Amino acid sequence: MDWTALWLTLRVAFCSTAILFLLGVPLSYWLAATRWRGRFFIEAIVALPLVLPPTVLGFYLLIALGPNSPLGRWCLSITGERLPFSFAGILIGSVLCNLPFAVRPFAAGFAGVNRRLVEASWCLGVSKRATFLRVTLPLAWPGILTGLVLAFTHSVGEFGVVLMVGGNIPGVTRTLSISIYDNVQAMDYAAASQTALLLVVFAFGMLCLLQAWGRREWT
Amino acid sequence: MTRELLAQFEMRYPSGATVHGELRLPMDQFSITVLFGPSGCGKTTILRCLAGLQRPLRGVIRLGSETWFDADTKICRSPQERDIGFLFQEYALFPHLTVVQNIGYGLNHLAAVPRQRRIDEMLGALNLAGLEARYPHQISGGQQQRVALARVLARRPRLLLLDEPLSAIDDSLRAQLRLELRRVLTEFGIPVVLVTHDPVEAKQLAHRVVVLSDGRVTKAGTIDEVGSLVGEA
Repeated sequence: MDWTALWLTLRVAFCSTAILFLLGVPLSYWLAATRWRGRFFIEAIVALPLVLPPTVLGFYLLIALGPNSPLGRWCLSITGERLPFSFAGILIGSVLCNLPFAVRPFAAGFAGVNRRLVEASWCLGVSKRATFLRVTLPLAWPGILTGLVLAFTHSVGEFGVVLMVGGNIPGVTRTLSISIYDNVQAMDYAAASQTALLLVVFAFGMLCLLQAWGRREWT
Repeated sequence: MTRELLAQFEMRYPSGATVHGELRLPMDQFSITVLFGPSGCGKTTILRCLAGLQRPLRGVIRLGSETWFDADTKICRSPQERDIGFLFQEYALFPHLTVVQNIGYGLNHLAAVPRQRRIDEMLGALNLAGLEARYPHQISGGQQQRVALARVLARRPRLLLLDEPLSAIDDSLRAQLRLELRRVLTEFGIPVVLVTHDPVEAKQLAHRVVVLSDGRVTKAGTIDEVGSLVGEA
């Protein structure tokens, strides 16, 4: 078992899920609430990683983050490091790739909250912010939990984008999925099988947890 | 000077349907004003505009010298600023909170002891003792109505807005709950605007009736003055 790859994979998955929570909750709340006609455009952008081959997304990311792009140059001038083939690079790739896995369940959770409950809270003198925290968020929680678990699980198994943006640098960008690929290339099927089994058990366990936790107790 | 709620506004929906709210209600004494009319005539829209949940196109809504809405000066106070109590048709109890948590939901501005005292008082006044730890889906429709009423009354709002408060109750229980509702409202003495399409409910509960048809007030007065119109509807 490649323990360095396991540790790196978990770091990427945790960081990416945390970023998706922070970005995805406001975005999905807005998507669920807005009546803007151009909303479909934003929804299509969010869903794009679901249908794009990971190599395509990875290729464009590699170009966008490279030292010849404005973003890459800006990052190089600030941190002194290049984004491609770095932890930050694969993290950005993971966040973008997992955006629909988080945002779509989040938005479904928010859309399912009965508008009357929110209005009832306002009429009881509770501010919009407090209503969001005390009513909307708890009631949308099953959807948010689903999004977090799916994003984390998918992030652990991400391969195409990570390989394109991060390459295969041990300890820096070699995640579990890339480690399996490496093992197979080296004909080390025993090691590949061990890591693959771990990922299967992990994914199955996460989905079981999701089914158990995601149920609304009050219905 | 008598304090009154004055509402003269027009609300227009994207479909083109318009509702004209014309109300003048005394606020210094307890009274139940019933907005009566068939389904779809604009009763709930008027109630929602009074609560600040919908914004009229033009007109004014004032409580005494306080302006809640004025289209000309672009004043539109939020529901939180109007200090009203709104009882929704389906009660809108928070499903993830227990009976006690629902009743105490709007009392966070009170310290722990007076807050608990107020909750206990409401549990007693509305016969809800023993249901404290239950969730809304674990109690009957009549009990849900009482919890929703307790939650609204617990804050002692200046005006109560009740949207078809008995429509979700079985016919067999409705007559009994009508009397109980009147008793509770009288006990708390807060002016009430109540929406109904049920003539029996209007006759039994109203001190004053405002009859609506096709988005307009067609008549207003005491139940004796407009009683025949209520009977016909």
